[in-house]
Amino acid sequence: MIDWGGEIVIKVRLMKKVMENNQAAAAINNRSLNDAGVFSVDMMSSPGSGKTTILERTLDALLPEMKIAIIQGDVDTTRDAQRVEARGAQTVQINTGGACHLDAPVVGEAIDDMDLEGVDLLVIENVGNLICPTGFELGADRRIMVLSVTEGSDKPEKYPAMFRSCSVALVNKVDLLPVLGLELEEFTDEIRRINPDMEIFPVSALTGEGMDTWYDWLRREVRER
Amino acid sequence: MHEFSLVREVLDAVRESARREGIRRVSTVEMTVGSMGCVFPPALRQAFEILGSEDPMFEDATLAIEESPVRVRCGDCGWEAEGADARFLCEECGGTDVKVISGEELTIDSYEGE
Ligand SMILES: Nc1nc2c(ncn2[C@@H]2O[C@H](COP(=O)(O)OP(=O)(O)O)[C@@H](O)[C@H]2O)c(=O)[nH]1
Ligand SMILES: [Mg+2]
Ligand SMILES: [Zn+2]
Ligand SMILES: [Zn+2]
Repeated sequence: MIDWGGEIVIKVRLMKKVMENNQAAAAINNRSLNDAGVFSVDMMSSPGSGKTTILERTLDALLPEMKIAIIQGDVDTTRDAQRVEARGAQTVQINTGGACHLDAPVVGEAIDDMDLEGVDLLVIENVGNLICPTGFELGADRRIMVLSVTEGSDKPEKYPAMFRSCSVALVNKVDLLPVLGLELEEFTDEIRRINPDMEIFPVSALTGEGMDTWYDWLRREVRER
Repeated sequence: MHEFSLVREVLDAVRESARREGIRRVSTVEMTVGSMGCVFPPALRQAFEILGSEDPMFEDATLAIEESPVRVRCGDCGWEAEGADARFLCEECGGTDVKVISGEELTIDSYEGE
């Protein structure tokens, strides 16, 4: 304590982590989803890397064999939600109002609005942003990211936190590699340099190339849930 | 701008503690912000200024931020590196068991008030 202008100034040590509220809400989300037997993924990327297109294809391939629900948080109005809903998946649109990421409380509300009965897989399409979503866990079983080859191979080095926080990376738009004059290895090497344990699936959501490996991964995770 | 919601959380936590301590006016809040996190210190300061001015308790308060650089350590050989030298592939032994030991913090360390 020091005397300061007649009043007593007190210094209080708090050592309190910020974002504990989010962490707590994420843990609750994860428990609700697990209790309902749902396998869940949080899908993150830059804007335009192809999350919604990948989702559309994935729904076409897997809806005949499993029940899939989508939480749509990408900023682009309701267009993304309409695109996936048209496929016949239960979809809840989160109105982020221009926010830079989803957070666990907001996702919790969306989960409460859903009918999880019989749902095998929940995909959360996060806001297109390589920085913000990293710090805000949503409570999904796995965090996966999409890196499109048009973004350049320096993204892992520039956004290491995002690449470290995910266990699966889809390298999308590989159909454009020849056009860009780039090699796939540039991307896989850069990703592994930042996260050596990353499972990497090179895909083209446009042509369908490589998508089977991704579907198989989802099937296995859903089965093992 | 998620810094606003973070600052709201910071102000709530300090307010709650200050009430317990019988503190009416807060003069400084000290935080540690890791450079690998998703928080941009200037935006945090700006949000603090704006939201703080709405509450008499924080009217004159300043936010002091200690920035914590990324620091990594190899679990196999103990190699360490910081900042721009931080890699996730060990430069000594080539091992991949490299972990972040600091740079991800986001904490309210302390505050002062009367
Ligand atoms: N060439 C090519 N274009 C793609 C591919 N996947 C998505 N796109 C295009 O990239 C743009 C953005 O895709 P979208 O799915 O909306 O990205 P999101 O913002 O991550 O959801 C659209 O014009 C897609 O048609 C791909 O594999 N190859
Ligand atoms: Mg989208
Ligand atoms: Zn954000
Ligand atoms: Zn080493």
